[in-house]
Amino acid sequence: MSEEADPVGYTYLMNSLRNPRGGINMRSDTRVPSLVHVSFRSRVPDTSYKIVQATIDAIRVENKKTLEESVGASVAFLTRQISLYKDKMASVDAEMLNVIKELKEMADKLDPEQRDLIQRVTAEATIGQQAGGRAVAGETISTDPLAEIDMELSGARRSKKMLEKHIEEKDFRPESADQLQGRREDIFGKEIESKKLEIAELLAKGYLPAHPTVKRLQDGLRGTIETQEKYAKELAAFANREPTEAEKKRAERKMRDELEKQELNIETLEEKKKILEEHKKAAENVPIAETVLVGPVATKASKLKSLRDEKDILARYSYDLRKQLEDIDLRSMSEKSPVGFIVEVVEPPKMPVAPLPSQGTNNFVLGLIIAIGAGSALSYLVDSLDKSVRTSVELREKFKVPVIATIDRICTAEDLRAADARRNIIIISMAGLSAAAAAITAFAARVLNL
Amino acid sequence: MNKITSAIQSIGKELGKYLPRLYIVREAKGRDGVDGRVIAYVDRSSHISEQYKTLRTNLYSLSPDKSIKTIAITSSQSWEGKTVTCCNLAVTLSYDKEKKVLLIDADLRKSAVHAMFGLPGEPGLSEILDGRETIARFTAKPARGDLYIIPAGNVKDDPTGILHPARIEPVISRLKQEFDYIIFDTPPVLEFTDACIVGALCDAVIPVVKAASTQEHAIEDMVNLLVEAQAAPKAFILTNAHHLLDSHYSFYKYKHLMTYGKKE
Repeated sequence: MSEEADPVGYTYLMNSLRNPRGGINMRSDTRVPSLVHVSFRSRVPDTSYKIVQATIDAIRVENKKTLEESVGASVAFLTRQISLYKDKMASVDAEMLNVIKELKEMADKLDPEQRDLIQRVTAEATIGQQAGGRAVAGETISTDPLAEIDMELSGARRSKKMLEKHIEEKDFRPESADQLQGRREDIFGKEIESKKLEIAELLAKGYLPAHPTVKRLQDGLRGTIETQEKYAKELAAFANREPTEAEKKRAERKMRDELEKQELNIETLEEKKKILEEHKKAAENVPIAETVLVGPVATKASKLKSLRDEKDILARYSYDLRKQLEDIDLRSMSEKSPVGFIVEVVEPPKMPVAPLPSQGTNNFVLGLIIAIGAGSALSYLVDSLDKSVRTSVELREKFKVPVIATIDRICTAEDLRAADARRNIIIISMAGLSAAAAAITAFAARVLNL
Repeated sequence: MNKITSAIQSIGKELGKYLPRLYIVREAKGRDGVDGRVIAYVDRSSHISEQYKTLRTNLYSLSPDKSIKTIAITSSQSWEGKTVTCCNLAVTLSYDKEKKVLLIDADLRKSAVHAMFGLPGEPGLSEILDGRETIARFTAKPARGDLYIIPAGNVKDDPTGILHPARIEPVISRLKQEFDYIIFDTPPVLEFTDACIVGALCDAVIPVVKAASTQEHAIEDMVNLLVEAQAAPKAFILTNAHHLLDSHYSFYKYKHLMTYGKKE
């Protein structure tokens, strides 16, 4: 995310996310732990909206970065391992060829029966080499290895032609929605099946359906099914859209890599086919007989057999590593895809449609402070402008004449009525006052400071 | 209903302790047709009556060496409480059985004393000064209680002319022989000169000042006029007071005043 595109500021945002007092609140849903609510409280709704949106973007970017880093590290490790196994296999191959060569040289000095045996052994070793190769591809070893190689070869040639055609026509479409759907269905399908199996096993063991473990698994299963359905919908939307330039470029690069791979594959397969045909031809002429080899020939034959076994093992390991690599590739492709995989926005931030509630307490305190301030200022002003005498002390001090009496205010009904008219307050008429009315009147008059 | 009434009364009473004191005149006319504002007459147990008694005591001690017999009550402007103060002071002084007290309405322009006591407005002072009536008519018997009252009378000519010192001085001299205290209710000083004329002939001039109403400059002008007329004020009476604002009265004292002498 660039600084320009981010209205809030990426660095500021990341700092806010790290800072617990930054105000950005992220909490997990109590029912669905994988669901995270992001919220931000601000006086300005627009700012809240932008910050939440930017937070979600930042999470996605960070998540993608982490994924890429982890996938990259795994791919690098596996590639290195595969390369190591490849080297080992190459060295085993070379050693086997040497042993075969030596055995062939020795064959001239042996009797015909032993020579046939050597031929058979070397032929088996060659076939074993092919079988190891096929094991790498994960195929079932058929009784006719040549037919298998032919099939592989034709498939590779077909793929090559297709790729060449796409490149020639500049048809660089990314993986179609159907392909993605197929792969995802495969992933989700496996997950769903494994969860179902796990639940069935627990139930078979006597766990009740209400058991927390079973419930957790069932929740997980439900969630996976829901996610699968959601992705299906998103993919449907994805299928209808035009690929971006970046996607096209990625697809082109992938196609060219694939073409190179296919060419290399075809070359290897053709060589293998050639060797296999030669050995097959030689093996066809050797009658099968139970002969026991002795001396240096037997040693060589035994070594050849152990080399073949070693190569088998290496081939299986290599196959496993390639499988892992493929899985990672597949997963990373899914995660990098536009619809997202791990992080997804369930509900985008919304601008509030109704005005936010007012800050009642703050307004009250503020109003109180202003009222006290304004009242004080006004009373000071009135007091400073009023030059009337209010107390006997003032009068005595000002005119140096004694004040012999201070008489309280005497208020008549006319005064009350005048005050009533002046202040628009109802005061009960003095005529025929009841005791209660008189009490209220007296009190009201005193409160009003008539 | 009674419970509600008593509850309201007690709440009002409790809250009232924290509010400025106020006397509400419940009836416009009290016994003998006397105005409700003459509290010293109609409600002798009220706190206002007590305040007038304090005024009487302070008046005694105002000039210990020379007794004060004639007192002119005035103010700087209208509506400051002159007449109410005069009436209440005269009634309070008249409660002393050994003293004869006379209240004269010398405000010939806006006479109100007769109305306060429910008496006819004429004949009165103007008739005496004109020679149309004798003093004996008014000094024969008290008008209300032990108080003798001379209303303003029917003023036909210029009031200032009627109140000429040459006319009024002999009247005052004669009345002083007969009465212990003579209280004059006079017009406002800043509006008419009558108060200065009467005040110059009296032993003491006591202006009334209405708290939170009378401006300082008005009092200053009034004092200057009285001093120029040889009627310098001996003391002030502060009306319309807010006791809580007056530093002389702490809340404790105030509460004490309310309950003093009353049965639990």
